Amino acid sequence: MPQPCRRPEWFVLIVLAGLLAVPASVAQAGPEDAGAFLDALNKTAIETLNDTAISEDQRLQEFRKLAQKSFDVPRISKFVLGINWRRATPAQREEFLDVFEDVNLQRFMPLFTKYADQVFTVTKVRQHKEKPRLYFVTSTISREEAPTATVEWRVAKRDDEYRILDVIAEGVSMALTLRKEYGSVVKNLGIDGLIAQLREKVKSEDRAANSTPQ
Amino acid sequence: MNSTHRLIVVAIALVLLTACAGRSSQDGLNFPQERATSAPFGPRIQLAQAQSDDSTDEDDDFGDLFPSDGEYDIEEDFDPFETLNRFMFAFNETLDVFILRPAAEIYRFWLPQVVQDSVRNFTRNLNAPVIFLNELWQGKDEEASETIARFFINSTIGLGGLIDAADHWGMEYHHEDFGQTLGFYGAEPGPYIVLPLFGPSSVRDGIGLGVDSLLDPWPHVLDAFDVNEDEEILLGRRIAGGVDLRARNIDTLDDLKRDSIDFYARIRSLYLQHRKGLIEDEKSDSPYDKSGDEPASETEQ
Repeated sequence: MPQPCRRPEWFVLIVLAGLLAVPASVAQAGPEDAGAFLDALNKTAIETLNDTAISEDQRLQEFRKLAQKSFDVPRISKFVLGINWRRATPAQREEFLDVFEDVNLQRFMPLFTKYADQVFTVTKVRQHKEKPRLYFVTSTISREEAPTATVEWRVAKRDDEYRILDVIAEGVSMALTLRKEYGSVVKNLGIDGLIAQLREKVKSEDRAANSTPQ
Repeated sequence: MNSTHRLIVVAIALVLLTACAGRSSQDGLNFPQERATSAPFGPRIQLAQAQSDDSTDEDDDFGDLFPSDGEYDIEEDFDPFETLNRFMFAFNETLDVFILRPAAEIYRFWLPQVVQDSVRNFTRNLNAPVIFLNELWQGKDEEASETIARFFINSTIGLGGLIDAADHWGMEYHHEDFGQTLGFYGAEPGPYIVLPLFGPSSVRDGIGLGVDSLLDPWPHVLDAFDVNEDEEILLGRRIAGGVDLRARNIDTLDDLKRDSIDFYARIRSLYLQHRKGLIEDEKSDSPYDKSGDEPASETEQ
């Protein structure tokens, strides 16, 4: 199993690249900004999760902050719960938001730590013709040992800030897939059942991560 | 046969979506289980942020991404035979756990990569005639001529299909099946079905699978040459293709399974979305501005 990136010279390069890329992206305007936003996010995430100068707890805290800033978790949560969002009590909504955030942190963190030789490239940025606040960013993720993967991001710009709404791989939308999966669980087990299942998943993932020896 | 190629792409999609595999100790970041203990990990998303009313047009991002009059069925996948399908899904999973996955593990561990690639190239090359016909029927003349050129190059220079020589000359493998051809002419997938051994499908794609196997020329070729072991040979081809495909997706499917809370429902959604994407790939009525495509074509090569 590939090891997370630990080589110091790699960190230096990433930090330098991050420092160079972020101001450049702030300076320019236009649809390319949405691509620059994702570039910067990728760099910052790698930088944050590999920052050996801070404790593990701090790393998670920083990554959580970054994720909250970059993903529109409230909107995604509402879409994912669909009709059940309206049926849920305020307490259930709160619980769902809470656990859904953890589920997603667990899903996305390994993306930035697993492969040291992973190269993320934004290849295309398109703007929605009727809703100019929506962008469609195409990127490729390539590694030496694997075929290059194309990943598309749906991003919304609001108050000069970009937030990710959906991630699409090979024509499959993450938000839509989760909506269908969670909908099926709610149908069988109810909203509380869904929340319980997600909590259990977060717990077992965490156990697995802790118990596996290096 | 063709379902195997379908699975490859679905599997790739799956790994991208789940993207969780690293299980080193570094990933063990101790997620707080209770809200009360979450304070050290930074403030969480506040409920108020999500309570805002999305009735105004400018706020409803997902309404714009998946318009209700659009083609995406965002409420529920059409699965009237769910009970039977779930049973079949469990049956396939059992076979996978006890037979297919172990075979794939052995295959992946013991055979050199070059042999594994030859198996894939060989089975893909045998599918070329069926792919060619489907591309032709969908009016994809360029793809069809490339598929037939690939077939002749790989069958000769590529030593009977063991080597994908055409790929080195820029003629990449692409795939079309009869389910896609039906979809191309407007056929809806109909109810979702899980086929024994073949896995996720739909009424349309199941019919496609049957037509594709009728189109397959190899049984007739073996017949014409009076080969006695024709059934064993044809079965061997399916098994080799299946094991190779499974071996290439061991980690992907493991991750996917671990990441789901309803594996059946997730696979169903992934399958239906993916097939829809394959059929609509050439449609040009995207709501997104294409101007951004220009510079990208250079970097994408």
